Amino acid sequence: MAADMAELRCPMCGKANPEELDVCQFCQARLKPVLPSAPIPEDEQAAVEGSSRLPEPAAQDDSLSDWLNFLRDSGAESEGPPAESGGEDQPPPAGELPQWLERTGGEASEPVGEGDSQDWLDSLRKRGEEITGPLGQETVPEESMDEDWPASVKLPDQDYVPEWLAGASLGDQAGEPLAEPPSEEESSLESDDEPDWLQKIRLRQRDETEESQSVESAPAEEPGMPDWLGEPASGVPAAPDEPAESVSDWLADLRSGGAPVGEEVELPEAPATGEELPAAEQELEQPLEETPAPPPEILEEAAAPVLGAAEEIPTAPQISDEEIPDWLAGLVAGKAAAAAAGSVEADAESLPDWLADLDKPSDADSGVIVPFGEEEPGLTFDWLQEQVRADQGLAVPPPESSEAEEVQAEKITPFVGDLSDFLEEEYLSTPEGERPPAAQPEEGLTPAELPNWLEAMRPLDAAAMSAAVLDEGESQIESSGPLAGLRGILPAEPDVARLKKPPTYAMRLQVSESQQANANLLDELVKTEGQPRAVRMGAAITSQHVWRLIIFVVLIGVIIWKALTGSQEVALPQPLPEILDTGSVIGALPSNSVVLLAVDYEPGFSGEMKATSAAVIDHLMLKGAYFALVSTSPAGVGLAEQLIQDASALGGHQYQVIDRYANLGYIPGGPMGVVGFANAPRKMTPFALDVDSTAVWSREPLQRVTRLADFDLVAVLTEDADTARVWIEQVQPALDSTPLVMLLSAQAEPMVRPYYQSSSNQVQGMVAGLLGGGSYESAHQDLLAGDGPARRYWDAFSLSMLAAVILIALGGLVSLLTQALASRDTSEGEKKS
Amino acid sequence: MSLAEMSLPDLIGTLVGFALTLMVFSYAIGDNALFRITIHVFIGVAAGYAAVVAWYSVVQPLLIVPLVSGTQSERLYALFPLLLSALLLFKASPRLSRIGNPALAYMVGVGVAAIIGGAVIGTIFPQALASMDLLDLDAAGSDRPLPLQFLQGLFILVGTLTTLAYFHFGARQKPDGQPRRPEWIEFLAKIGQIFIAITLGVVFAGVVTASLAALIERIFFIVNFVLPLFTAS
Repeated sequence: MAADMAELRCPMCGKANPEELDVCQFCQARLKPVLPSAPIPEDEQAAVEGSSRLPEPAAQDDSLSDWLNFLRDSGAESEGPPAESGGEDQPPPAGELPQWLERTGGEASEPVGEGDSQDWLDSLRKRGEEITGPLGQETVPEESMDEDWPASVKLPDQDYVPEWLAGASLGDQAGEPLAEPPSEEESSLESDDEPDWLQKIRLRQRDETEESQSVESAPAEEPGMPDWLGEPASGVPAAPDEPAESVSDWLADLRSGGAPVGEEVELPEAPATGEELPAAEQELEQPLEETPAPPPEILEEAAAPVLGAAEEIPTAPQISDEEIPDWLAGLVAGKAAAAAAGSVEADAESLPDWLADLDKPSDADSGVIVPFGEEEPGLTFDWLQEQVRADQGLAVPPPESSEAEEVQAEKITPFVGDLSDFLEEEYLSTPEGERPPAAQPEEGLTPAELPNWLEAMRPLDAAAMSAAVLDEGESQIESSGPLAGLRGILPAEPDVARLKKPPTYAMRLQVSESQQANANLLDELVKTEGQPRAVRMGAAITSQHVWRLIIFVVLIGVIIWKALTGSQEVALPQPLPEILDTGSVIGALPSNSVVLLAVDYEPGFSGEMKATSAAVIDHLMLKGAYFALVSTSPAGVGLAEQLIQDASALGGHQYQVIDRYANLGYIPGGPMGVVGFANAPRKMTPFALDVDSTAVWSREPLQRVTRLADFDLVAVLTEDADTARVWIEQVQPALDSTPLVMLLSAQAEPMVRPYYQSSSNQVQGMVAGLLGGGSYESAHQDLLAGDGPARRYWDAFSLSMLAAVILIALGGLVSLLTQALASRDTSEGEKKS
Repeated sequence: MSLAEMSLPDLIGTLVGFALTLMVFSYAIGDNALFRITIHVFIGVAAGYAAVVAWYSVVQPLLIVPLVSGTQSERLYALFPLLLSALLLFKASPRLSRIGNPALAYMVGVGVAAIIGGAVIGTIFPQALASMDLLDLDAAGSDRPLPLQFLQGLFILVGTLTTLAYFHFGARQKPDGQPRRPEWIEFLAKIGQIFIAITLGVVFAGVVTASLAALIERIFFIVNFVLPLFTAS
């Protein structure tokens, strides 16, 4: 308490500062309000002018602040201890207007109609029931009032001064620390001399002071300067002296027993308990005959609603007509006089906040935070504003949100706009018929959000409409931090985060139908991949089996028929050029020639090769040739041996091994072996493949053969074209003039013919297949007695070949028809579709 | 020769051959066990016969005999193939297969050289020269008229060139993104496809002919084996 008395609490940040300071040492906010009469320091003047408060009101608003100026001047002039309570409570003489009412001058000289007096009285009664806001226990110093509603007003006098009176101390407020509200004892001592309503105010303020000290957010608990007493820092015109003088008389009377205006006074304690409230309300309702009534101008100012704020307008306490104190009645008369003077008129229903908020519970009782500058919620004109709107049939601001409901009912904007009050008073003073129509929102246009100071400039009707759609956030009051108590602060948290429940997102993956179908398909594929599938057994007999049997039967039948019949009706083919060349080569061999016979065919082709080469070998045997048998395949060694035996037996030549032929055996290494044999045949096959492994190279006729070119003829028997090519490529270059004859299978003949038929003449003769053998037998009828294997097989071969050709042709024809039918069906199906 | 005139080995051989022939013919009704037995017998007999021939024709006369009873020079010559043969044996072990790499490399190198050399000298050069001589009327023989020979040569030349063009796979990516050969190569390739098709058809005909001949020979064998049995009786 004592510390608070020596300190000034900053209205902005709420921190304690020494009383000597004019500016807060923490946030540089003004601690002491700047009075209009007092010179404003230069550094503060710029801040005052540069603030975004209400613009300076028009010149006609000078009357609005006359009483205020009067109050300030009175406060500056008066010194000494606070006025005694008795002096404050001295009522004016009966039948006379209080001095403070008289001093309001022309502004308050306009007579007030009876209807108007009744209206504001009615509203006063109504609000008497709904008063919740306390009277601030700390008034706003003059300096801080210029900027915002500061936390407290420091009055030098320790005696009790009502809150509304403390707020009127605008004179030389030098940042004096806020006086502690008088204790209950003090208030009780003074209660005998003070009017009841003052006592109630004191008690209530006392309670509020005690509770607000426990709240850190000092600015929220500090009482706000009543509108009719306080002015915002910026745009506050210099109040004329005359209205201020008229107002301050009653204040001066009140303070005669206490502190003068502008001096520090002790704020009365608010009623601590509810029990005091009813008493206070009762006293309030009692006719206040002996108490000086506030000037009507003050009431007008107090009645001016604060425009531009969608705030809950607290209702005035309900007071019956019979209980209207005399001073209130005098107030009505004074208001009428003020209206006649042409000053800004307030609604006859307007009442000062201190009257409206008398019975309102204090903020400390409800435990809510009073916005900054709204320490005197009872002194706000919100309830009046609401009443005015209701009377005018305008839209009533929507109720506050749950969060805003925590705030006190009366919410005084920081911008206690004289201008707004002026406009409202002007609007209300004009007759209904002359009042401008309310601005209707245009279709398709969204209402713009205007700043508070601009909103205050709006006419009453527009303000009433806009107030309905005003952003709720502006009504929110900051509850913590250095901006506690201020309204319209940008929330640290977005409204959505604070007020709305965050959206809950489903944890399930959002899958479309097509995606689900594709996922199911993939799942099925993966599952079926590991599952064994039953192999579908086909039919035992299919068309392929049938056709195979048919073809086999046909061919076999023809061959068997010819074999059984032994017919030789089909003529052998005419000798081909390669057959004749082969015959010529063999015919040109000398007697006892040495022929190298390379037998390199597989056992499966032995039948054909026998039929192909039988006539040629017989021809060589007839020439007396010595055969040197070699083979590059292991099986060829035996086949060569068999070939000579069969040919010898067939032709009756009696060829014996070593004597007439030598089986030199197997040549390993494929092409490399052929190259080696071509270069060194003796080293590649040093011995004969007989039982004794005779060294035939040392015996006649192989004794004279040292290289491959020494052979008289080289004949290669093979069914493979590659083998034939190897012999041609590797051996032929080493043969020099030795002829090379190829005895081939029918399947190798196309690949070897270029070697024979080209101009390279790498192969001098060629007999290929059964056709070649038959042709060779045809050319040499004396060979094999005309009954060689080719002759015997020729009829069967011809007939089977004919059957094969017919079958192939039929098969091709059926295939073409099937494809044609299928394509036609497909095209018809496409056409239909 | 009738069965009665055959010796016992020949008779057994004939009978075995007859049976195996029939077992092979059983494939006409589908794959069956008799056919598989015949195939397995053939493979086994061929492998065994090849092993015996390789020993008696290569290993013994070219490696064993020189080392045992050959002269010093023959032995020296035999040491090199003996060493390479021993290195090749390490190929049987996966862990020691690297040791046989030199012998295998020698074999592969020599084989490739022989093949490439023979192909170049024995096929490419002679056939290329022969293709050039197709239109040389002076070099042509007198057995046929010159215009016919010229046309024949021209036909062969066109077939050769178009066939070579068909196997030209050099292509460039077209604007549509598809790789394509030049247009004129595409035209020649189409003609070459015809010649290739005809060649493959001729090859197939030769295969059919050879198969028929083999079939005929076997059928005649069966008939000649069975018929005397009936006629003899």
